[in-house]
Amino acid sequence: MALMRSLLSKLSLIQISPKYLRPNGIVNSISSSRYILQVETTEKCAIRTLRSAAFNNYEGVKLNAAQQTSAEPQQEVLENQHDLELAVTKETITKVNNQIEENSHGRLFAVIHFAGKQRRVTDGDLIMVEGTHPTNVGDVIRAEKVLLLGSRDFTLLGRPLLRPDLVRVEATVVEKSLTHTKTIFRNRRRKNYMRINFCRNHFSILRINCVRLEGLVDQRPEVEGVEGRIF
Amino acid sequence: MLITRVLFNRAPKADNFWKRRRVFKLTAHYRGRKRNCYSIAIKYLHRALVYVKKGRKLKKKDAIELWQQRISAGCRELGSSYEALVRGMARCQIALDKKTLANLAIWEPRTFKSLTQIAAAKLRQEPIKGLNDISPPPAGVITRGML
Repeated sequence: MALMRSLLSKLSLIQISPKYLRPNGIVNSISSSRYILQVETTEKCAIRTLRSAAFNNYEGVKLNAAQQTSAEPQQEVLENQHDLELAVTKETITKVNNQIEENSHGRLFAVIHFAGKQRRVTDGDLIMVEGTHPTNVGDVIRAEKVLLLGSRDFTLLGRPLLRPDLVRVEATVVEKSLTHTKTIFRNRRRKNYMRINFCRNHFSILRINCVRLEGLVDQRPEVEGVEGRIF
Repeated sequence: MLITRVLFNRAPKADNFWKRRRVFKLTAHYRGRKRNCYSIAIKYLHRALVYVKKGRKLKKKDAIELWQQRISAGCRELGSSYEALVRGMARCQIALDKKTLANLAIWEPRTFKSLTQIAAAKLRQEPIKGLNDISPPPAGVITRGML
């Protein structure tokens, strides 16, 4: 009996007081629930403000959840690119012109429009031109429509053609002959219709003598379209 | 001797051997009876000759398709597309055709790359509705209002 009383007295001494409440802990007593709720709500507000701060890139944390966050206008300052671009362009053109003056560009290739077709040519190429051409074997021709000129380090693109005083492509007629015999056979089966024809077309073979640059880039003459004209 | 009687004689029938020889020379690489039996060979020869005539047009069509495929492949390697290149180039008044573009794509990769960059820069200035941007904005193309 005495043991029981001592135990009971010891049990009665133990009290669950609100001071020892932990914010995340679960407590059985009813009186302490108010404290828990308060702590929880304040903590939730703190978390919310931290998250909003991170989103708005704010320095520091505002723990007062009632204050509204205002977004500052975001501006981007663009530098004037025109002068930079001009400088780079001039640098590139001088580099190309240096190569042209020193003749250090190497082998040049060109895209010429000749006899209805575009052909990519370089020195020493043979090109076949189908059809009758008013040239004779041994004539030297200049290809006037040059669309593109390229080297290892630079390309000159015509819009659509390059200037004739800038580029020169010359070719010699090497051979003029007829193609192999082509059969043109028409047949309508079971209708007693059959025709056979043979065809040989004229062609010329041209040897490209040279593809070269004659002027400097970005240096146009005062009067254009006068070269080669007879007045 | 009476000559008129001789002149009234009809011409002798032509030897079939030579007519058939013309056919067999062309069907020498065929299989089985198509090679050696005239009435079978002639049918297949006629078909073959018609295909020769049709093939001349198809060759041009196939070549154009091939060039287009090659240009498209070259463009996509560089982050562009065939449509973007062609439409950009047209707007810059660069008049290179498919044959030369395919040639450049294979043999002159730097030139081809510069063409794709120019076309992309032009389309950036004058965008076309419906043409998607595959690549990021091209670097190194300075327009100075000239494109």
